Amino acid sequence: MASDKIDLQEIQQLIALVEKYGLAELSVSEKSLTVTVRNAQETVEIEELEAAPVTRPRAALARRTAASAPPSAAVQQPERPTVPLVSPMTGVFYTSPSPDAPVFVEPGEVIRVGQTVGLIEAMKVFSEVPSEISGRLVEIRAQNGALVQAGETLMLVEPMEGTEE
Amino acid sequence: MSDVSASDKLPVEVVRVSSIDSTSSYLAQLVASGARVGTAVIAGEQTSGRGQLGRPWHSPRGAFFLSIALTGADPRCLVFGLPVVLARTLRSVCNLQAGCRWPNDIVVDGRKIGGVLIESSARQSVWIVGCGVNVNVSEFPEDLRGSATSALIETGHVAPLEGADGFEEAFFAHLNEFICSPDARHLSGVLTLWRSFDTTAGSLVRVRRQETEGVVEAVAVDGMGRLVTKDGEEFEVVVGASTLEWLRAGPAPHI
Repeated sequence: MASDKIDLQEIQQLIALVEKYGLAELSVSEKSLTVTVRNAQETVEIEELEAAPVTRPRAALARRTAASAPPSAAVQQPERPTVPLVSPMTGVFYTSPSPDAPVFVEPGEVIRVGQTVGLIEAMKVFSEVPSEISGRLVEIRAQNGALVQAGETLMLVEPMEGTEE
Repeated sequence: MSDVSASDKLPVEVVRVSSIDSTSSYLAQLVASGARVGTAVIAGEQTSGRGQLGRPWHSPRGAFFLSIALTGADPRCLVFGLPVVLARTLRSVCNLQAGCRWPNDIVVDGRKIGGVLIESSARQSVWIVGCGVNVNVSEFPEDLRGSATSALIETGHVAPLEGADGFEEAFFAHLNEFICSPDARHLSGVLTLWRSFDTTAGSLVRVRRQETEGVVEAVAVDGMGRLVTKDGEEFEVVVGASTLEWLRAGPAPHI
């Protein structure tokens, strides 16, 4: 791949190599792009090392892989930058307001600024943890009932512009 | 510690209800709607009284249920201050040797007679302070009998909740005294006051953390308000009180 753009012909060549030699996985990296073709999991991953969007090439890949037979390939979303939501204090972290209540938030959910995402108890003071960012909750790092330190990452959020209630 | 000035006698307003699900939940709604700091909700009965983490708090008639909105940059001043206020009220109204147990229990001979639950509100630095004291409770469910008591059970006398000599009036008098005292302005002062009522040291406590638990001895409360425990030769500092179950009482306070 001579440039940062993805060349469908080159992707086809990679897939052909995987087929021909029965490879489980083949990765090629050049400049800011890494393309991985996995036969076993039937995926094509594109890792963007820089923050440039790759919307059009992904769409092109999806059409190509849909039309091609083995190894069939699906496009995985490239990892997007996430922002940590950190604990404002040291205490015991809870994911729900009471043991029998539903959790405040779940991964995949879109959260907004000010929304309660957890509860922290320190010396029997129960403080709601509001989100300081709007976006999609990617991961809850802190376990329910675990002691967390001030500044420790509780959750990872993928920021979304224009997220509204 | 409070933006309720010394001239603002507490409470600034009382919302009195005969029966309610939870005084704190109701007050939180009022605060979110703009109720003034110093507003209190007093109920004759709670139908869904909340303890920590929303667990049910045994809330029969005869107990004192109050929630009040107070401010403070450091809620620990309220955590340790309000149990002192309630212990003083029990001493003055019911002539009971009430003490405190880390961080916010009120106890008599190691049995819990009252508690304080502090929750953040919709407004910055405004805290919903919920107080429950078993004043005229005549009996408890079997599972609570070993760990809970009431002023009525301890003294054999019914104490008035309202009126000039009642529990409520005395509570607000002690609360105003506390809020206006120099001790209330800093955690160190509040802790010094609280320690004179403390029964924590020498207690045995079960600490539960996710999948593990163990019984340790409560040794002291440090200058940050954290519980120091001892397990054999190892000392540990405990912050999360929601993980504790008290098993054996410490000695009674000496005042």
